[in-house]
Amino acid sequence: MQALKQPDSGGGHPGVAVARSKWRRIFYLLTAFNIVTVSGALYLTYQVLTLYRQEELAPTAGAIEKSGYLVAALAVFTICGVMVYGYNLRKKIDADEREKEKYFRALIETEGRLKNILDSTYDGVMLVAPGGKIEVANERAGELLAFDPRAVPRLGLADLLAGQFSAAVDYHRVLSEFQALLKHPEQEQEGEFEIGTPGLRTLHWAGRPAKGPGGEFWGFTLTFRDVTKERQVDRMKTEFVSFATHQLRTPLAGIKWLLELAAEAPDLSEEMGSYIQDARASTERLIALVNDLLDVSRLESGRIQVEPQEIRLGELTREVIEELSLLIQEKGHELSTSGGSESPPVLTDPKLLREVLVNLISNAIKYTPQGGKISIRMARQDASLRWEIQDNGIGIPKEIQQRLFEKFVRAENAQTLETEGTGLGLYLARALIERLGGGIGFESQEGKGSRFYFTLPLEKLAERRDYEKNHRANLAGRG
Amino acid sequence: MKKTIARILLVEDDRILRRAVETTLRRHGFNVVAADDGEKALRLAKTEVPRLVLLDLIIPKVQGFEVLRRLKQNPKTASIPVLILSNLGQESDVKQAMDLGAVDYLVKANLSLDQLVKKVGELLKGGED
Repeated sequence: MQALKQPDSGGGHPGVAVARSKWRRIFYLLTAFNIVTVSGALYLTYQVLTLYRQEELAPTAGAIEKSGYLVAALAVFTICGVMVYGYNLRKKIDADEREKEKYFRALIETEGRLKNILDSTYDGVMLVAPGGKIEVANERAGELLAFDPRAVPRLGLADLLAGQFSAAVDYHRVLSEFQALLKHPEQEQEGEFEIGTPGLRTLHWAGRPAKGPGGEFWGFTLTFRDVTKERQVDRMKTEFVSFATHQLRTPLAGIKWLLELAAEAPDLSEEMGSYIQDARASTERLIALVNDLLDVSRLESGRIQVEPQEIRLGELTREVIEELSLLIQEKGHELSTSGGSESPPVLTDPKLLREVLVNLISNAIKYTPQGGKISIRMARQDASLRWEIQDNGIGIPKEIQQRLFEKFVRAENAQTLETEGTGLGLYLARALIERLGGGIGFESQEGKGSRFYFTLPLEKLAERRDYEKNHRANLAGRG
Repeated sequence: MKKTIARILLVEDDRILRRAVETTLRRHGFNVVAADDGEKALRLAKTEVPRLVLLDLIIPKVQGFEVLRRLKQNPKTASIPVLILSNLGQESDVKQAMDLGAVDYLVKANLSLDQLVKKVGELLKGGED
């Protein structure tokens, strides 16, 4: 691994600065002390000479002796002072040296530890400078992408893209994704690709901006994770669900069709007829559950394809209401719609959206007591189209509201009113709306009613097609 | 009700489903020949020259997709409409069948016999025009 360095080395470490200012203080003290002693000696010499001149006498033995003592005392004092300071200085230097050594040893130790940690991770990790130069790469990154991490100082992401990455399945897509990352390194990005060295592996990558202590932009970290096993399990799961669905549907179709034939028998007693009706209803419920489970599995594996068409939400809503008209009549609800004809066309998948509409409308019908009021409104809201359905039904208890869009969640009051229901409808509705690029939500008060709504983006045709193309390419990349 | 005796080839390996469809179609006046595997289906398509084929996809010996491909490749059988009746329902399966030339694709568990009779009627009427 390349040494961890801080891109900003101008200020150095604060510990070094402290040591340096200590040295400076000692130097100033020493200089000041010397100035004082030298000027003291000069002053004394001057005094002695003045004495000679005043007395106009040849230096007497006494005076010489006196000044000799003075100079000697001065010298001894100076030497002592210098020695004391020298000793203190030595001590300080030693302490500083020891401290510095300790600091550097700790630094080396920390760096070694960081390197060991980084090298032992399951993920391949790189720090990439904004221009694309790889600053750091751990051993795992080298292992996953088949390059020598020691070559990093001379390596750019572009070299990897042109070299090792060219073995990737669907190379052009991978290339354009990483080019997008280099273009906008300040944005979090991720993706997946398969690479054939050695053996086909699926790698998930994520690029996240890296910032210095002052918030300055350093570049981005790029992590690579081997998700081969996870993708294999995903594939097996999907295949299993597809197989199980087929296996379940065959006997279900048998029961369903033979009950249909039985119901048409000419000499059927009323009692027998009602048994058959109930059996048929149960079969339909079972089939619906299998279908929902299949949809969930396909949605979760990302295998539901979106085929956008320009549609009118008002028309689709009318069709679904028509389909459910028997149910509405049975419950004697009053249902109104508004805004359908004025709302702009929206580019979306009618098949998937129809499932959402069936779900939300039939929920409103089911969970509103006899003779209820249901109103559907459509309106443009900024860059999206909002669709909402309001009922005066049983509402949703507060304690379940947070979890309502989760799998297999059903409110207690809903279960009491209607034993049917898989607890998958709203989960599917949310997943579908999100897959169509929109959002879904609700407001509700228990006992008063609920309002469910979703929004769909009113984006340009070309953008939507691009998105779909990319999504499909992503799936293709996953295999 | 005016009924033409149209011959329909039903390819279905599940005995119970075969029985239900056969019974229903016969009740509505259609002439049904049934096959329980792909080989028999291809043979009967050539000898009986049906007006419509109802084809299951997961069948023994020759798989449904392959049966469809060969029916469409053979000039003698290429013009016979093939309606897929399967319990596979993934988009990829539907797309493959439609690309191979099926007229429609219905999931058995989601279909009632009543709806099937209507669909068969529509397809045969379309063929007469």
